[in-house]
Amino acid sequence: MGETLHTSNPLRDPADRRLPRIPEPCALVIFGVTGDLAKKKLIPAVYDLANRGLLPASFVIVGFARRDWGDETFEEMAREAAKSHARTPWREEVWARLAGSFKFVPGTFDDDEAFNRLDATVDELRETHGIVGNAAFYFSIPPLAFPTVLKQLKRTGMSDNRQDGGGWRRVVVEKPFGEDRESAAELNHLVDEVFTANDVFRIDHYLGKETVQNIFALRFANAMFEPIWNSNYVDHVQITMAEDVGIGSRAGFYDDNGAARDVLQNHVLQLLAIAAMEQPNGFEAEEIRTEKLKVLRAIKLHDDLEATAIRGQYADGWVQGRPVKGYLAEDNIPQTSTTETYAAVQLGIQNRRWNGVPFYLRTGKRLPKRVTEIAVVFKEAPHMPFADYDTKTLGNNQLVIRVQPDEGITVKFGSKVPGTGMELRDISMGFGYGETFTESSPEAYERLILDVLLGDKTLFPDAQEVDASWAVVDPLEEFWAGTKPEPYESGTWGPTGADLMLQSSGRRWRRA
Amino acid sequence: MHLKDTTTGDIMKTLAKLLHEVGGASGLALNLVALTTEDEREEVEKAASVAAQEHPYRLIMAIPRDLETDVARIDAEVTVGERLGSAEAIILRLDGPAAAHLSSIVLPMLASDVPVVTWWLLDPVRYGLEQELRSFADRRITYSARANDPVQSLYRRAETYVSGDTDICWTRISLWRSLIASAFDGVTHAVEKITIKAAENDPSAQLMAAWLHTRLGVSPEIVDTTVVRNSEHLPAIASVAFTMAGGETMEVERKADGTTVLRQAGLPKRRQTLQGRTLGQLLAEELRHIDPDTAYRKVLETFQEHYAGERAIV
Repeated sequence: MGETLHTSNPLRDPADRRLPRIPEPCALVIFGVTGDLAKKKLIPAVYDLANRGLLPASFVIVGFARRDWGDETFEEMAREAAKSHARTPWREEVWARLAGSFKFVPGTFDDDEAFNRLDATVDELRETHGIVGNAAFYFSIPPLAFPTVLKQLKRTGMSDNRQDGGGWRRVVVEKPFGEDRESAAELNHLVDEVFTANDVFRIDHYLGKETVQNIFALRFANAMFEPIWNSNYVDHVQITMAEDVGIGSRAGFYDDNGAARDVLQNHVLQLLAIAAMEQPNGFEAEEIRTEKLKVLRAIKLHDDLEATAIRGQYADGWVQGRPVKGYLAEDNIPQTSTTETYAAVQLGIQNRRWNGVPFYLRTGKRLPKRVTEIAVVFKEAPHMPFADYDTKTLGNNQLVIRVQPDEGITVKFGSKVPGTGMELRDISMGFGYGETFTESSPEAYERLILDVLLGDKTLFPDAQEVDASWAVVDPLEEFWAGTKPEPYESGTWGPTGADLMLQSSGRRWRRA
Repeated sequence: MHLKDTTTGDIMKTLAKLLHEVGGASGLALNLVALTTEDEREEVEKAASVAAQEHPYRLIMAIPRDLETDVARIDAEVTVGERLGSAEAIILRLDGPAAAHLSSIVLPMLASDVPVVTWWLLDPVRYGLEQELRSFADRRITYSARANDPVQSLYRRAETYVSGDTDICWTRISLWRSLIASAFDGVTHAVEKITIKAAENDPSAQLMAAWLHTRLGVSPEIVDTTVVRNSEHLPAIASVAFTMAGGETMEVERKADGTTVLRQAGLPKRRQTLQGRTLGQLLAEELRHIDPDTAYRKVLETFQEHYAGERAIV
């Protein structure tokens, strides 16, 4: 064969779909590794990836936090975390292969010395663990600390590896991406400057969910949905993201932000973008992003924000058979707080497909249950050859994408009630994606971490999308400034203002 | 529910009734038709219930029973949920000519529209039902390691290959192949020599050789080795070693306990764990792909051309 050089791996064949995509040798550096996210999601996800055989043979986790730990203590903590939170069954031999691949660097974010040690540690791994210089930095830290850590990564040269023996360097940031358009721009500028725009991965874990990815399949792989997916047939769209829990231990962060910044700006608008976007030319990250960005930029708020931008704040009440405190009675929340725990808003999308179709978005805490759904509600049939009293209980046709829990799709349509009369009633037909497939469908973080290590950006919003989303939320925040959110009883579907918003046009929220 | 000396019509009525009682969700992804014997029934059921967690299917299990008698008879057991996990299952015990006319029994039982996968652990020739099963199968899954002469059985698979065929012996080397493929991610030199230490009579070892041959254009040497396996469904492969054009070497070696070491010139030793998967997990991997596995077809062709030696279908 002589001295032929391969440019790509000869063993990889796109037609050979059994060979999973496995990242190149690399290190995952986690800042804030002692926090809840790292313990409950990131480390278990790494174990699950190992268990599914999706990690490269050379893989190291480097923890950085303010603890007086050695590598062994870190490994022990990681083991506990993986064992109690992993999705896949615990197998000692899988862990055994990760053992010895844990490094811990103690330090604070403003400690130059600590970052020098981190730099040296990552460099050493090139020799000791064969990671060939590849490393992803995961920011599992409060947003306030982002700039400090970014500057440290820049100072030590860790963020750019081109001079230093090669290998990729990537950074993963969690929401919130700023708290308004301006601060997001600053943050984006900083992170894009320290790394390159292409190496920045913004995690919106909703996009890692199978059902969300299935929306692409539903819409663009089928013939029967897309023709009616427009203003000719759709009456309106409802997107609900409800939580039954309160703010938990996030008081400080939450009170500064509220539901619109915490959830609406990212998860809910991303769901809207995927549900409403035009068909991408292909499935490359860039092609999908182009379409998402187009639709996000086409969003327009209603002129009458008084009636179409509703805020609420949970009062005490009962949720799932237990009494719960109101927001103002939660620990560390000031009595005078005007932060919203519920937001409902009506949007329009300024393009031909969605002209005149209202999109109703709502999200809130202490609602009756945890549920995330996209409901496409169709117009009434143009003419019904039935008597009015026969179709009295007949509603609009409806297609619901259940994102969580019980992932799946429900279609609602009218049918004849058995009997001699011509009585019509709604029935629903369900496709349970979750029930039968959950066992092996990867957790969102598992999928997203794998994509980071593979360098696949399809499921990550980029800086422009973040900016376009803030462009929607900023005017809302401005309008709400200085007002008090309407209280709603915990365990109910939110403030009455939100119901009135739909009632004025003869519609109503569906019971999710 | 057990039905003695029954008909397909009654079986389907019973299934409909049971589905109605549990408020049956109708999200079937495929039909799985398994041909088996009473001895293997439990093993097949166990594997099927594992795979059913990932793939909602209708399982139709056919067990040829008394083949001597002239009187055709069908006994059936219909279950939904219960011991077969979430699958809806019909277990058929077939006497006399009923077994030989399997397709007439199975066809009316198939859930409409969704693909049909046939699967058998038996040596497929044993009951002369290969043609019967082929007539309605979109995919056929075999397990040649279970035959009396495994490599001969694989050769038969190659000779009678139709689009949609696969063999569990191919499924069970996926993890091995994946490990080797990732080791090649940074390699730029061409390969000059490949040595595989494996049990020569394991079809998985033959497929490994044929795969590397297909992709790298080098004919691997199989050194017949006794391999200690802690699971039946592990391939009997101990190591795969490569010598590159530049003289560097790379080796993947699996120890008896599953520890797998990758030695690559210029890099530290790297460890992985390779354990045998259960039959259910292997079946689940197979069912993930309903379209024909073209990579397997190419590998099987290479095997037929270069590794089968002087064989003929007997």
